[in-house]
Amino acid sequence: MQHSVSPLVESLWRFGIVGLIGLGVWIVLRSGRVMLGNAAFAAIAAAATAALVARGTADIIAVVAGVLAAAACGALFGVAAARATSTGFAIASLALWAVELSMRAPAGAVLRSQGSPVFVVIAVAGAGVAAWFYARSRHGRAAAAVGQDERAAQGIGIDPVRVRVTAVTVGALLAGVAGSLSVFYPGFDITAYRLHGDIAAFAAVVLGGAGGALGPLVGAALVAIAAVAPVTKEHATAVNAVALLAATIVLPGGIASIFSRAARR
Amino acid sequence: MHRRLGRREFTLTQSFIDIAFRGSIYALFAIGYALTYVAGGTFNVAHPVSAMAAAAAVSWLLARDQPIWVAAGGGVIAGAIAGVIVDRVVLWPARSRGGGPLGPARPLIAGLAALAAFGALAPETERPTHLLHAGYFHIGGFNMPKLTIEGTIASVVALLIVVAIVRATRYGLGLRALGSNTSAARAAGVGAEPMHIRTALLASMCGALAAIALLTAPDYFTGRSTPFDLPLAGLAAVALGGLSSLPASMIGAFIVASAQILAPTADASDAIAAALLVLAIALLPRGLLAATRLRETDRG
Amino acid sequence: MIEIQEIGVAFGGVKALDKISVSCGAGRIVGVVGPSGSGKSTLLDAISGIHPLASGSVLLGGIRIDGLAPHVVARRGLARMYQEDRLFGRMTAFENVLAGAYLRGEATGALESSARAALESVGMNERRDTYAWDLAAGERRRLALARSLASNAPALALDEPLRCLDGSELDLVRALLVRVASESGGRAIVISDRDISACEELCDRVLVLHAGKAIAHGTFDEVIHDVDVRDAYLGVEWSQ
Repeated sequence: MQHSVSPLVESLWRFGIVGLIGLGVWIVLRSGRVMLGNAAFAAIAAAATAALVARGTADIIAVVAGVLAAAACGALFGVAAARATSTGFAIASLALWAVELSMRAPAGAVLRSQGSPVFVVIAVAGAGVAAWFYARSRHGRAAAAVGQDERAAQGIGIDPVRVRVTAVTVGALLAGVAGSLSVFYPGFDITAYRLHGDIAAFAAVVLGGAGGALGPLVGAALVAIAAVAPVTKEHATAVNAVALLAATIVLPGGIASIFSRAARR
Repeated sequence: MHRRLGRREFTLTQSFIDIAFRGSIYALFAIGYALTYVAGGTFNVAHPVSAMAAAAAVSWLLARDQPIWVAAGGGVIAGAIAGVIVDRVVLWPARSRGGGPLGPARPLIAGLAALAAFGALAPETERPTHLLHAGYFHIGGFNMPKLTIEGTIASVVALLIVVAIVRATRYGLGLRALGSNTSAARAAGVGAEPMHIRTALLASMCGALAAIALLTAPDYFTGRSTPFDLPLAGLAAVALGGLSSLPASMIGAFIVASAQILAPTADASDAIAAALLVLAIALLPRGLLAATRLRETDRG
Repeated sequence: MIEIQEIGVAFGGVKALDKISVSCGAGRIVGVVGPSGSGKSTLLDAISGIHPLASGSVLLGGIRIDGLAPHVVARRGLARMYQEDRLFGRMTAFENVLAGAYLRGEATGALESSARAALESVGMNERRDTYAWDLAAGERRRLALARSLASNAPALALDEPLRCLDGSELDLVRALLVRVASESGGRAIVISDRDISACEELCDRVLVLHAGKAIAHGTFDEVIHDVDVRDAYLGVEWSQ
């Protein structure tokens, strides 16, 4: 799809979309599970929103419907996979690639491709602040407890299944916000969620640092800045993947860990 | 890039051969997943890299007019090398450094990154269409492509060889010991890292051979789509098998193949594999034949 | 408060516990002792809902709790401390205790105040901002105890709470357990230990396990003079 926007606008869009999907991945990761297909929920929301917009539905209604569709799918997946072991959950989340693979550009959709990134940036900033407070709340601590030691968490009365279903649903909802709003992105391409979206989200989480809610946003900013380089979708994914691999092995705490180490000194 | 036939005409013989062909390939691919899980207790998301490397090598060799057996041999070698490189460069460092906010998720995420990097940079595979007309066998009133039959036979033979290796060799004994109790196996002298390398070699050869057999199938094409379709079927098979049971993974592979072949449309293959995968994880957490598992799944 | 009635636990064909009965009233401390593999942790796991029962029943406050999931058992009022600490390593000591107070559902200020009190009670206040994985063995043990106490549960199942503690820590924790048992209208506490002498001044009653079976049950004095206990567990030193 041909589009021409300024690098700043392009970066803001990427920051918002990757940041929201990444925050969703981070919330699930915090509860002790690896969601390898969170971008599928963004794709579901995008498909629903695009279809509704093409039928003349008001933008706001189409966006809300897309987000709700993603959250509902997330809840369904969460209920099915929440009792699985960590490996079982990760494998089950790969099934969501079938959703990403099945996505085709909506036929006959007339998309308004001149949307402003302001809404997606507000959404990701709001989600980041909410996640920061959530991490310090009673429920946030319960999710972290389940993620760190499920048996110990049960011993103090926390239901791990409920925590994980909630985490997956919220993660899908955030991805849904990204997906629905991305319909108004000048370079909207629903097939871009196919693996590329997952890699960008994981790169954001790991590069920024999975230890806190602000890590995915810092990582998303890095991914967004790198994304303005004039390269193909495949090469951008390769860059994100190599950065993700390097960070996973060499700097698993992400950039945040560099600052926390410096602060300790 | 990723083409399937639409609606097929069904006959019993045709369906049976299709299930045997596809099931044996899925089983071969799924066994690769199971083997690495048994050896290390971590799931190798990057297993399809060996299949992609093999497909690329076969395509490259065929384009240079090499005979199919040379191309296949080259593909298996390329897949094996890719698998071992992934194990040493990606999985081993991720496995050996625990802790941090990523904790035990590191090998999974590192594997995903390796898969994506290879998938994005791998050369586009040329479909060897001329091979599909290499000859036919007349079976039950149908002309079956020779390569399909040969691919099925090669896959079944490879499966039997892998099972024999795991059951009857010193390596297999070490692998089963590692799967049963890693600490005890190490105390008994089983070197974990040499076992990981050997297992990566065996598993990636299985993945490579599966991809090569699939490359010659009339209604399939492996290439950049390989990160998705073959792994989805293999994952569903291994999930039905409970992650680390070789016989149950094989049965799972044939269940996935049967469901896909008998479905009214070939376009639903990925959806069927995905649905079976989620259902297996949700309803059969210990797999079809729990007693045959070589490693207990993680308890976290 | 806690009534364990002829419970049995089996792992496959192996009987890990066979017809064990013991009760612990409010304000009482019951010790479960025995060598490694005797079934102490299995007993505590069974009453916490971790291992399903093959037979028998467990009552908490007169209501059956066997067959419930571990988190439901905790919500019914039985807090648990594990043999392996099972701390939340990426949380500070203070956050660990706050997580322990999850069920209390109080306002943040009240929760933090309770958590500070629980940390203070085990002498860990000065380590409140230290990550759990950076603590020494004895500190980890005390923190695990503080986390269990923070729940305010009326019943506690504590697996080897005195393990890894040195002289002053032992005195602190023993005194704390006695105080906790008697406060708030009385809490029922079941503790396990490999060393029967740990129960001497701490426990009202002692249950001795051997290979999954109860071989003695009574006061400390009754148990150490029991012939079966001497033969199976205590040996020559205690028989003199």
